[in-house]
Amino acid sequence: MSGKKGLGAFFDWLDKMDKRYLYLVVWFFVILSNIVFLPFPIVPSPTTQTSINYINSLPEGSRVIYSCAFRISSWWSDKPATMLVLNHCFMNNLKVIMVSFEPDGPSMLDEALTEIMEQWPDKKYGEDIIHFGFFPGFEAAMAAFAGDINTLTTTDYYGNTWKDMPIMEGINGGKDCQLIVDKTWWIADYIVRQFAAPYGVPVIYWGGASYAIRALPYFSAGLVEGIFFGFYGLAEYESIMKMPGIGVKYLNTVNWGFLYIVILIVLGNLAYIHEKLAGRGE
Amino acid sequence: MSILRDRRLNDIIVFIIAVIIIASYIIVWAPLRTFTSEASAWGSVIAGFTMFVGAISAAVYHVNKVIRREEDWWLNAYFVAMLFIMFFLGIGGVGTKQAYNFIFTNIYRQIGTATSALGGLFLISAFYRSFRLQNIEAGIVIVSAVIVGFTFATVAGSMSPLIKPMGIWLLTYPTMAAMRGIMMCIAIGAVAISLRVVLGMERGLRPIEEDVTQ
Repeated sequence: MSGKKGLGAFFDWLDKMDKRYLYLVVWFFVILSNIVFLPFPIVPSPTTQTSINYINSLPEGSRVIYSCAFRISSWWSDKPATMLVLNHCFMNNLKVIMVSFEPDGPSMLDEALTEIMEQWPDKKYGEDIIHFGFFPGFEAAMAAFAGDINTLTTTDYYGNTWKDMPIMEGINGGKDCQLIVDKTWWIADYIVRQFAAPYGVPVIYWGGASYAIRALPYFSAGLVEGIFFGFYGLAEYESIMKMPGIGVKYLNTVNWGFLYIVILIVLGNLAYIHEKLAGRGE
Repeated sequence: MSILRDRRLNDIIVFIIAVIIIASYIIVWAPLRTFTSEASAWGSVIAGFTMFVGAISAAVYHVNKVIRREEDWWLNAYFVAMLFIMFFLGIGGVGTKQAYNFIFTNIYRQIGTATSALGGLFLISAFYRSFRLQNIEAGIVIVSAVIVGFTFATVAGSMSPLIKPMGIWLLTYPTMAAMRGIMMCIAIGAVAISLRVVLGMERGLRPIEEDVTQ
């Protein structure tokens, strides 16, 4: 031990302690967030509100591409997001074309499709929704899908000929659709480059909060119609749609977690200032 | 076969395809568009094939480690076993879809989520050790980060009605201005690299001894 007493000893201990204690406190806050709900109102961001308004403005029967470019590790937040988008589209009688540009996608979309069809028994596969599965090559696949789906595949994920399906009537590629919702863990650049810029397909981007910030210039330039900021966007979406779910619940955990982060920043800086002052005194 | 080994053939193919694709965005002519669409589909097919080649390459690498009984060889064996199990279940057959989905949902998903969540713990530690007011620049970063963080955490609304508008302002003006600058730089860099690739000057695509930039 350094031989310091009082605050000095405490800050010394904080600086040298095993960081796993910090992790342990995270667990405490996560458990606490599941017990104590902080009832703060959710005020939607302008980008979230614009996205929802855009979906609501689409005429019935419009074709919406739901592009999945996320991985299994984020399915805990991507599944409720997917279900929310599908529900929203079905509520407005929009038709959904699901496609994945990440190898994990097809199984996850398959799961979402099964659940949404149970929730909406009057909707029919091939008429109201279609699942194309995964296309490798990421941006090259996006370009091909946007231009002409036939160059990539003649069948859907389940081996049915997609040209025969009513939902695909008049559709050759993504360029013929009225909206693409890009649920991704990547930046917006790819989808903007392949759908919005060459064909003018309206894009709603839904990436992680840190990546979503990178999409803001596209939003202000009119290349992206709306942005959802990660699972903050999910909570806001649920709140606006009056369908509170896992997003609102996670936001409560974020509230507690963020309070913990602020406490850590304050403590870290107090320790730093104390160390500086002690250094001057010696 | 020597013509196929000639690197100049690669350069010529890349040059021709790149020029046609670039032209298709400038010249409105249906055949050009069709070619671009076809070329993109080839890209997707090649990417699918490279995934397959990658899987074979990974399998060979790990099988060799198992044969040589290198350190922790059982982890390599586990990798090979899972690779083949998922490969054969993925190809299909009676009852394989259920088995594939079971492994995907109950093993792969849980491992993926847990691994991803570990990153959050490291972030917590970083917040304590890195966010220190060492100078004015660090202070600006910390204050901005806290405000933007609170913009999305609903708890901020009860603290001050100003936090959310401040966060939105930070995102809309200074952040967006910086992002625009970064994106323009990236775009100019991408154009430069693309030109080097098209002209066969990119070192990364050819053996060092054949580097034409020297």
